[in-house]
Amino acid sequence: MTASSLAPLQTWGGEIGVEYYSQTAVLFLVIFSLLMIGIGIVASRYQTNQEEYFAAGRRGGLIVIALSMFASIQSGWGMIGVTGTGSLLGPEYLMLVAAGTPFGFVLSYWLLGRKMRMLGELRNAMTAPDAMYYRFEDERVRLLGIASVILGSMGYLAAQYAALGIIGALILPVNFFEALLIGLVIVGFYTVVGGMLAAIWSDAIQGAMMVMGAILTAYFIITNYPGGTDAMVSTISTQQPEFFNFTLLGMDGIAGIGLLLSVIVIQLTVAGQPHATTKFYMIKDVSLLKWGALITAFSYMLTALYWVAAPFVRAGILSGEIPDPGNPDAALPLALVEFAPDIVVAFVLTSVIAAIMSTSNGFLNMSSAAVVHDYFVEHLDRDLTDGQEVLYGRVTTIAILAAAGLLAATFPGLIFVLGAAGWAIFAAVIFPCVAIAYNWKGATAEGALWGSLTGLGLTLVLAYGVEYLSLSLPMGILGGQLAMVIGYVVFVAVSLVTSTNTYEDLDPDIQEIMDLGRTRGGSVSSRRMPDERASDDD
Amino acid sequence: MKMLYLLGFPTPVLEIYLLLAGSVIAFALYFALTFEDVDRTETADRTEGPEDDEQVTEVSG
Repeated sequence: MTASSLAPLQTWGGEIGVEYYSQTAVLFLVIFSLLMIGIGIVASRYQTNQEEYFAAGRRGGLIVIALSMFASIQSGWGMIGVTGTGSLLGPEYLMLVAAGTPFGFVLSYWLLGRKMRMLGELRNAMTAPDAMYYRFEDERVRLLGIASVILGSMGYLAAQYAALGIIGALILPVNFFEALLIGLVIVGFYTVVGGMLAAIWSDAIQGAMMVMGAILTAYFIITNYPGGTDAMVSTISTQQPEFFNFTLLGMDGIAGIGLLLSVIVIQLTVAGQPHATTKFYMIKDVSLLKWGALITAFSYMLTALYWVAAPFVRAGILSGEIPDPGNPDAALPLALVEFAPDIVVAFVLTSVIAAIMSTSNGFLNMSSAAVVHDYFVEHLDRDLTDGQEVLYGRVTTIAILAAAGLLAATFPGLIFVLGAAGWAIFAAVIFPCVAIAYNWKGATAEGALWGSLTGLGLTLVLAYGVEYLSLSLPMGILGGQLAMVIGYVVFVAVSLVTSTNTYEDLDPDIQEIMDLGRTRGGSVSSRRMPDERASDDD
Repeated sequence: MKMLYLLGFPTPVLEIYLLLAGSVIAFALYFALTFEDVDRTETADRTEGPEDDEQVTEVSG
């Protein structure tokens, strides 16, 4: 079984086989858009320097950061793509994502929560490349981080905007490209104007909307499907019994074992996703992280209720109850239109757009920070004024927005595979260089360089190149995830035989951060230089 | 048809999911219940005098 057979080609800009128009949905979308624009305007008042623009002034509270973290990962890929793929592959795939991703969140808090928050406090770190540089004190490692953030953002953003165009075209009386353009303008405006503060505020609202939308989706689909759960189970058990089987338990399941293992690799490497873990920098006090993992994980679990739609759509198609849209990504909208009242369809589709926007504004801000903060300010050591930093940040955000929008409008690929590839580009570099390296004293700069380069290079070949060449890997293995694992092996192996910038070579404050326990223990000593204090006072 | 599992599923779909989800919640609870603030040892500003580099004040968080 191949990846391409598991995730049929996305009909970019084409029909998704669902007829829908509702003035309520248009009204909801307009209200939501105005709310986001308002947030951007309010947050713009705080945008005075790069710490405000890229790290939200480190003023995030527990709920805002916890919801923002899950909202940045739960995306168009997750809600539309996972529901669609789950309708093909069955509950084994869905439960792996529904339990594995929250596990990845908790693992991220455990591996990095205290350490990254203190790195932000002691070194004013605000990006993933910052964390990589401080750990290895090697500019080449920083450059690798910058490349990873920009390339990963492009792939992931393109997947988001494709989903945005599809759902936008469903709600509004416009086509895919017009919907894409409208979405880009709205998300661009509040991200460019309001910076990361607007992003985390809007993320929290969007996260709450997603949770509510998921509960409504599950309730109405289960209660309104003719015959309810019993009929769904009966139909599938009769007509496609392998749908419920577990490949990983040795049954004759539908999902390729390589694909399922790739999914597990994705879930385990949430800590390598910079749009999630850089939120640790932004929380105003380290003690607030205490309940963050539970809130983030539980919120994500609630949004897994969207995926309840998957088996019902499969059963409906098998029984002839609902028409086969011919495109698995139509599963969620199709289930809603068929089984939920208009106001719920309108709200849920708006919440899907909220998910897409909340993920994409994080990427925009992060890739902008990679260019302005990491490259110009830190790598080239350009002395930019605070005003220039914010201005350059905004210009870069617009450029990246336009480039990703162009990619979304023209790329002939798959949402599912494209999203997985974007994830792999981040995780191939940032997971070993941050999540592992801050927890392993033996990691070396050579290990980081060779491991990341191997992972990044192989991801580009195996995730993107394979698709361009219309090739596929055996057993449904995802190329990007295979590349990540190979990169990690190289990272560990090279670190074991080299010795540059191991724990003993690092500055005392970075040693203290590495010595911090993951939930308790350790201490840090901070020395604030006069120029830092003056800058902060500004 | 004999229904062996929750909600009548032919395989233990929900049972396995609940087990996995319960493990995740348990991990999150472990994180919360063992979590402690970070102890900070602050060193004063250098502008306050040449001896300040050596001055250390313990502050427990």
